[in-house]
Amino acid sequence: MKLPMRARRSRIEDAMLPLINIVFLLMVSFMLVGAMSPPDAFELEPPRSTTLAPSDAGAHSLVIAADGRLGLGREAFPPGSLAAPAAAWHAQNPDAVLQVKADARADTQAVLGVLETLRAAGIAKVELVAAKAGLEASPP
Amino acid sequence: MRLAPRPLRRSRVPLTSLVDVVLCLLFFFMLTSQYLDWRVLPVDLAEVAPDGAAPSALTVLLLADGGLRLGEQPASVTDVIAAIRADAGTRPVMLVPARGVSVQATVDVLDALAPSGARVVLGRLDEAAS
Repeated sequence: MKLPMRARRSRIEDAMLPLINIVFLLMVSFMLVGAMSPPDAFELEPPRSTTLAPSDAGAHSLVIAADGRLGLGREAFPPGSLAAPAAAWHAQNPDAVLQVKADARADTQAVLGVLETLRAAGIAKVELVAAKAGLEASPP
Repeated sequence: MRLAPRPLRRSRVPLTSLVDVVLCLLFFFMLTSQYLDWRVLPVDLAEVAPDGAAPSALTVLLLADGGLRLGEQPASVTDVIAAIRADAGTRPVMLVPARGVSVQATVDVLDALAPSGARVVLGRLDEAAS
């Protein structure tokens, strides 16, 4: 039997309704679960911890790679060259909280050295952050 | 003149273009969102200081092989927690990771010491290159 063109089109659009519902639900879930934040200078493997306090979720972060490379915002720096960028960042954001995200394989003493540099640059509001253990997803 | 009645027609949103737009939005949120739950480590960074600057603290050395030293003696996490409880939590714990100790190993010790409720301060060995 040959259906009229209009009836066939209407039937196809009716069949798309469940697809639209699912895509809408997926979009809403991604909007709610994910956090929109500016990307870091490079990706790292975060340390996992079971005892964590809520973060202020600051938009500013300093990343420390396993080999000591540093990234403040989107800019990357070699180890030992943080003092001037940190002072400039503090001048621009005097009251902002800086989250320090260190790679799980980074040397703790090197991380503490970076924290000392930040303090010398006048940055007092510093949070050392880790990822909640059990969440194995990595940033895209 | 008599007009013919207009055929009854439901006005419908064009679903194909709607699906296109929603799929584009879905991919945008999938690719730009971050799903890691970053939280603050319960460690006092305000008093990060060179080794020996806080003589009143209960000093715990974390060795590169994962072992702990309480003062000069090798100790387990249980020993350290017992020492903290014997001290009634009056002194903070200064955890000094040796060179080569990864951040994950330090975080694991912080997690293990968390039940004691002690305030933990991270200590530096010397002027590490930053």
